[in-house]
Amino acid sequence: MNTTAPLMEAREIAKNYGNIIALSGISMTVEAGKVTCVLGDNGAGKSTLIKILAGVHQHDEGELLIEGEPVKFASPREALDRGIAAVYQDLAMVPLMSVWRNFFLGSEPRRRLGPMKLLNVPHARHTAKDELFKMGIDIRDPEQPVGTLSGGERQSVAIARAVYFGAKVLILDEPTSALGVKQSGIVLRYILEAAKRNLGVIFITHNPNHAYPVGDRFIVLSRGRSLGNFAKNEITRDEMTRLMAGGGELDELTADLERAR
Amino acid sequence: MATTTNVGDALASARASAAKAADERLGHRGPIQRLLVRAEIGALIGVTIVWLFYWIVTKQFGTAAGAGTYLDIAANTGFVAVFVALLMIGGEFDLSAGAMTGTSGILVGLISEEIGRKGISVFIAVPIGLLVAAGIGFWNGQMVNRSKLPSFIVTLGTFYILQGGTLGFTKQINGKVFVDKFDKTSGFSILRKVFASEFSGKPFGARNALFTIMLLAAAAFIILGVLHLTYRRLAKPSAAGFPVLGGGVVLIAVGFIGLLRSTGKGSDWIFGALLGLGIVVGMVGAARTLYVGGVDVHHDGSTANAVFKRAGIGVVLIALGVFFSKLLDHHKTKRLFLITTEQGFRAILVVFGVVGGLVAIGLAARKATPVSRTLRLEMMVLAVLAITVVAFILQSESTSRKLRVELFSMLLLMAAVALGATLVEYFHPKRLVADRAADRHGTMLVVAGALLGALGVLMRMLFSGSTFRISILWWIIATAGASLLLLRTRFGSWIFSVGGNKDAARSVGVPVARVKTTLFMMVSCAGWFAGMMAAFQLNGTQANQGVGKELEYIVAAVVGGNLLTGGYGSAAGASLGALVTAFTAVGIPYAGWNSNWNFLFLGAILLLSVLVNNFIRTRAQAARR
Amino acid sequence: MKMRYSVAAVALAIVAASCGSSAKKADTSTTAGSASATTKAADTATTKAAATTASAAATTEAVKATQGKDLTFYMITHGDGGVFWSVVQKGAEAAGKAMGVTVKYEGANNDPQKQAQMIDAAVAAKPAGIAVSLANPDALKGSIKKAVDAGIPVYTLNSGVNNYKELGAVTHIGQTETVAGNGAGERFKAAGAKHLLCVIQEQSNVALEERCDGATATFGGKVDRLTQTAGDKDVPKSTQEITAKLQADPSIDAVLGEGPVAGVEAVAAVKTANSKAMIGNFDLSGDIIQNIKDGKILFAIDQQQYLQGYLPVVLMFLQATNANTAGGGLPILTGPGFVTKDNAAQVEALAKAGTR
Repeated sequence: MNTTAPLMEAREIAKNYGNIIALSGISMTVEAGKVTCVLGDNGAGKSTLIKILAGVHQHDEGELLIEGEPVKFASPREALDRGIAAVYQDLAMVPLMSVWRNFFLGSEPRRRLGPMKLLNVPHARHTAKDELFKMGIDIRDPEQPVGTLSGGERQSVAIARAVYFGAKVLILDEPTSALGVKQSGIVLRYILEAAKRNLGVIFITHNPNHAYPVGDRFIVLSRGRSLGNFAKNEITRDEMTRLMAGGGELDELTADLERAR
Repeated sequence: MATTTNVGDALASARASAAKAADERLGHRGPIQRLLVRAEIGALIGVTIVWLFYWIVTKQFGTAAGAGTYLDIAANTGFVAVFVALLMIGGEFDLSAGAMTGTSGILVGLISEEIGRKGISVFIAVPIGLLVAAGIGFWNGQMVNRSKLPSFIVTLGTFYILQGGTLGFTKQINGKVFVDKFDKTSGFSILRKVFASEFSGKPFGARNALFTIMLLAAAAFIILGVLHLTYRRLAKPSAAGFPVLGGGVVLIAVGFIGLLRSTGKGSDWIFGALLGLGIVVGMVGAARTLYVGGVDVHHDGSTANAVFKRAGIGVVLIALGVFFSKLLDHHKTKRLFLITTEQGFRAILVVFGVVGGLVAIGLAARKATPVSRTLRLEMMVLAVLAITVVAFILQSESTSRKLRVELFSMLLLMAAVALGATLVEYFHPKRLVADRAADRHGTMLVVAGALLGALGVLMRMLFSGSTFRISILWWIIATAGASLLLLRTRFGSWIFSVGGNKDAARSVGVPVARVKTTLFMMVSCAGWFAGMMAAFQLNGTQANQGVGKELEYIVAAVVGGNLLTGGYGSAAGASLGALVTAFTAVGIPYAGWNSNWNFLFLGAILLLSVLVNNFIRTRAQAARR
Repeated sequence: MKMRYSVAAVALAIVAASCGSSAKKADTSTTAGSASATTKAADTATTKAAATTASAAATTEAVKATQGKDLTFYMITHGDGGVFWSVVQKGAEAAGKAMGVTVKYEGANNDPQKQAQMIDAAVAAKPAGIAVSLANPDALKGSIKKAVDAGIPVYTLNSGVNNYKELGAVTHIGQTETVAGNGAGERFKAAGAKHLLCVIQEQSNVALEERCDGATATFGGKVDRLTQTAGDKDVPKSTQEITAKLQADPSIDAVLGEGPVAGVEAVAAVKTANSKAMIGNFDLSGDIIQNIKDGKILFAIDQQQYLQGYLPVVLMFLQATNANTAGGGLPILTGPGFVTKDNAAQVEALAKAGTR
């Protein structure tokens, strides 16, 4: 294992669906403790990219390297085992189920009772409550259904879950898109919290105002291609916004609207 | 980076102290509150109400023999319903479960009778039936997983295949549409012991005394446990309470022994009164000894009119109950208004009046809590009086054969306990913070009391000379096993997640397809077992047996609190649902009603239970915020 | 303030009223009852029989029994509440009214498990007698044995003439299916038929199979059996099944319907299939009689199911009050009665009333 290699690196990744080119020539790196933002308008290919990174799909061309080692994930489980945790827009939460069950879903702690292996419920409740508290969420009763939490809190539970289970790379798919200003602020703070714990965070969004404050690197996608890969000191927020919206097109639109007024 | 860390830590500690303060300000959610929002509560309430109703309205329902019958009926439905509930929580239906019972019975019967000259031993035929059942379950699961069709459709297809196939093959093979003389097969008598044997215990000498002691001890445990869960414990038991507690115990002992040795003459009521008084004094004394004294100070002095309005309504309703109980005669089963007897009508009016009155007074007491302690005390005393009145109404039905003397005694005891609880509440403030140790002890006491009580009832029923079939035992084991699986194993968490949001489950690594197939196989195998129980009981099987049961399983599951859309529910609830339907099947003929009303009753119960369960679920989710 | 006092006053008044009235009723049964109750203060969910009260109750029962009051009988059939069984129920309830006893009629809708459970429940209620129709003797023998062991007299009706004795029933009230079937077969033979179709509406009903067996024995020609899948519950489907059979085999020239609905279905089926088959039927209904008058049905065999409901109640009553047991070890026959064009009009009015 190469310790100087980035946590995750994508080299010229491409994906085709039939004769539709979903992604082409995408390269990016993710380093521990740093946030990489993937930006682009709707339809740019962001969700395809994360599905490949998280093991839901396989890339057709290019290389995906984890700590310097090329991999091709056959299932999300494999990606999870390698420390890649994805938090999708629908959060992978089961609303009717309690917080602690959701927290430990798929990786439930067990203890032996005679010939049977039972859930270690007190430990699970306890741990879920503590881990969430460490992330700054106070759940009074871990038995409450996840559906009773607010959108921002649910995002945080998902992030806390990924952090706890030893994710090395955390992929967040549009976590702030459905949230208001205050809730988005909470989520952004948790993203920083995760980065603080030395995870590599990939933050996908179409909102440059959210991406800019927290990101260390930015990659902008448009129609399946990369428009550029920048470090924070290489681009300003306005430049990034203009790049995402199609640059010159936005200038023309603004001019037209001015004239019409 | 350094500054961020400091800010972050500061934020964290600020959050922590704020959270702690919040915890202390609001009431803590102890085990009792958590109990009230469980999925099974609606079904439990339903079971209690329906049982009480039939117990009051008929003569035979409360007997052990009656219990043996409805428990057997419940067991036959409940055994499969429990697993159908698991499947429902997992988000799927199995409409072939009913036909599975018939097919299993026919298959095993045909194998053991038609193969070879003298047939094969049932020891071979029965496991073959299990394998086939598992195979059909596997088929159901695979079809649902691969075809992506709704399970409703897939299992409907399986249902028709099973129904037609069973009929066709049976006719083909033995020329009939049933398998009979099953009891003549080799090995029948031994396996019958497993699937359909009956137990009938003879009453033994000390049974009644033992039963009474167990029940009193159970009541004492439960009362003490609830007190523990509600009030703040003293660090050390206070000596000031000992004399009162001792006095209470002495009164109880005198009253109890006096009643035991009574000769049936008129002085009984003195001992009864002593017993009641002893309970009140004992409770006050125990509280004095164990809990912190003082006064609750949450009052806002809002108007007392609302309280009196409720209390007034309550009193009026109870008066109506008294009135109707005197007005309508409780003699013969004369038909009134075409659908019910005069007896039944009277029972309904009295029960509504009395229960409605008690509920209204209870609401008044609740409303009085924030107003003033004294007002609440008065409302509670009113409630106790109401219970006493109700007891006397029922006791004064001397000419009716169905003299509810046990109900009378029970109500008076309840009144005594309520009075005791009221006084304890007046003098001790409720617990606001979590006290883990007290929670644990309290829960242990309540559970021990409940178990002791259940054990006492069980012992008394089993040793009363009535017969109980082993199907009841299998049903209880299945319910316990399925509940354990659902709530305390990893697989159970998976079931909830697969039903609640299967994409989410899949993305965290839960093997969704495997879970579903396993659930379908469980249901089919349960159907096999139920088919075996029926075949060994009835000495044969009809080809169309079990057709129609699949809806009963689903009804039992829904009445028990399981969501049709999946992701939420309880296995024990399905058993309770099966019990309610069994009550009506047995109670309606006992009550002398036309058996056709059975379906009407079932429909009403189904709708009502869905409404109640919805209500409870929304409260559960709202209350937690 | 005033409200408070008025509520309290009313409450006290009610308490006084209810307590006072119970004090007035000073009969010993009350005080004895409440005494024994408060003694067993915690006996709630189970049997009330303590030894002394039980024996006291038994003597009062015996006394009351001779007065014909407070007797309860159960009649548990496999019936479905349709046109045939509603007549049985009417008979049973009429007998109950005439004797002044309570009759609880239950139909298990052809489900033997349900019927067994109903019998178990009835046994638990300790009635003075139970009447059962034995469509499936094997399935019911356990429950009937329990009734017999508990000392409850068991009578069988309608089905099970070959099994009632070994199950311990006092007697069987019904029709010997084989004999009735013989009659049907003879009539068809006399009318010149060569190929008979038996239409069986209830699966696994021993009695219906016996009817066809009896007809086969005396018919002398070819006999086929058609077992309907839905039976009386789905008339269009069952009619269609008969039509299909007639169309498939035009050599059928006689159809024997084994229940009142089957006969009517046969009439419709014969018309649709353009068959020349003659029709005979078991059991009556208004429609059947009309068809006989119209000449569409040759004859109907009446097992007089009203008697099957009425007589068991009478016999159970007599056994309970006068220790009579009828039958002499043999079944009591309620049929066959033959209804043809000659006597149809007479029977018609009664069938319309639902008692034939």
